[in-house]
Amino acid sequence: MDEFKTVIGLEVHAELDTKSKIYCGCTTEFGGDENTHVCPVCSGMPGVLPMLNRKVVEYCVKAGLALNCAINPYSRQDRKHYFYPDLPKAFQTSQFDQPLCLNGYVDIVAGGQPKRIGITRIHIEEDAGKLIHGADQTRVDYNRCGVPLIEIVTEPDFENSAQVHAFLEALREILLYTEVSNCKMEEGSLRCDVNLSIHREGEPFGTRTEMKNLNSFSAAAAAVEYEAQRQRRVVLGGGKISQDTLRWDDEAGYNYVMRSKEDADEYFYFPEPDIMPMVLSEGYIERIRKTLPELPAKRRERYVQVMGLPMYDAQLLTVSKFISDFFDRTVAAGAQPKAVSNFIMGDITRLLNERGLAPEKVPIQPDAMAELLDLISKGVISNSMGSKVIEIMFEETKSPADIVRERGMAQVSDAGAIRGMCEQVIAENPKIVADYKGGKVKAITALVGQVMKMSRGKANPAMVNQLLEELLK
Amino acid sequence: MEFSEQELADLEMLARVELSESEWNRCRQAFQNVLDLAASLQAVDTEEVEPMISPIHLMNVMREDEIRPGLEREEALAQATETESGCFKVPRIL
Repeated sequence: MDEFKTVIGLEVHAELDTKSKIYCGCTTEFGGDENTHVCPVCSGMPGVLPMLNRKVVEYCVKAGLALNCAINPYSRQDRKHYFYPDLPKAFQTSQFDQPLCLNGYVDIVAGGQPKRIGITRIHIEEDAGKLIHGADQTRVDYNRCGVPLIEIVTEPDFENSAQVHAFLEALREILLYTEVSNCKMEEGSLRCDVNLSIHREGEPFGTRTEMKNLNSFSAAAAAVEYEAQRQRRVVLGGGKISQDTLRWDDEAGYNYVMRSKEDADEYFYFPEPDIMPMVLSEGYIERIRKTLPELPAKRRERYVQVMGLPMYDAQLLTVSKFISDFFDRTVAAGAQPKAVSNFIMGDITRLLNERGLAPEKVPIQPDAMAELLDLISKGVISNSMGSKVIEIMFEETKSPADIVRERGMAQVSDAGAIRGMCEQVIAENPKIVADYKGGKVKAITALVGQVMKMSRGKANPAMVNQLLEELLK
Repeated sequence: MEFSEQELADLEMLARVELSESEWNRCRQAFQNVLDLAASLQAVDTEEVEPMISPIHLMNVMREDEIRPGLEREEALAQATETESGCFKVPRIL
């Protein structure tokens, strides 16, 4: 550590997962041929009347509640003016002094230390179009213009890149669990601007710079590291930091100056006369609060403290809301948590990966999963046979009991039959038997393996082990 | 407050239009009228008056999240000065 403190605040833009745009009925679908998802409203034609999408307000309030914000009972939209071809109206409809959500927080853990990051505000606004820069001309595609965004502004509470990274992970998880955004970084659904300044202990905050174009968490962390060091070099060299907007070049790994920062008054904010104010009742807010799912951090806590799972399991189970829900429902159907967790982290993950499937494509119902685990715990099938049954369940919609019956996969626990196989294996493997009798106790696992192979996996392994030990005494 | 020649020239540039001499004079007079009207409003004492954002006292005017067909690309691009590969074409920015 040096004599400087770094102060970082973030502005995160998340595209909301609505079907249609914020002020018109055009699709929000990503991609599509250029300028095919446009209408007079979102392409900025004169004389049109924009109309606010109900879902946008609902999603913003939902995100706000999940991020512990107060919801503004009276909220309004404002016009933010700037001239740039990605914005055909020459203003962005946004929110200025009456945003929908205020004063929230997210608790994170970074470098083993818990930390609370304050959320200043969350507001709704429209996305801009896409510019494709050519050698001497720029092409403009307005498909993305009017796609709804929430902008989440944090307090300047971050001290380092690890905290920035942990916050972005936590935020992404919450937005995914509340299903307000798909958070696809590669499609620009989650984007981050970073404000950073440095100052000496006890002195006022330094001049801040703003970094844009950070479209991955690692880019945000790298840009923070770079900019904190750059500002230190400037200050130590006797220079001054100017209030610039910088553009991060992820490939080159440095920032370059995009423009000197406008002040808010240069945006000529004024109330949007075409959109009526949003007045939200207590009842409306409470109805949305009731739709909030249990959030991932709470689930992990419950998995570890109530169910006794290792934190490792809890982390993996909560990577996807679908998997976490699947786990909870299987446990609710009577299965042992650790047994469910093992199968999810093992066979189910493997089968999804092999087939290139997303987690929400698990083709097994929680009840069927619980039934399978019941067959294992009752000794009807072995654990390894359970893996085979799961594999079949990925292909066929049959109950595990039917699969086991139809394919004769039930475990053989008949002592007579197992004894016969054990005797045969002992007779055929004199060398392993000699090793075992000579004191290599572990040699018995090779014999168990032979018996299991002979039974095609159906012999009860515990019984095989026990009988072999008896026979070799 | 006088609306200057320079201000009109700036607006002409921002709006990407070319005014003829008669249009120029008419626009200059029109903007001057707007500024004069605004100036007359400045004289009113509004100390005790709440700001009014809209004369229409409606709230929560919203639509359902439903997709509706928009413009065909040809229609969307019909008014553009220049187009290329299905896009609006503008002077180089970066």
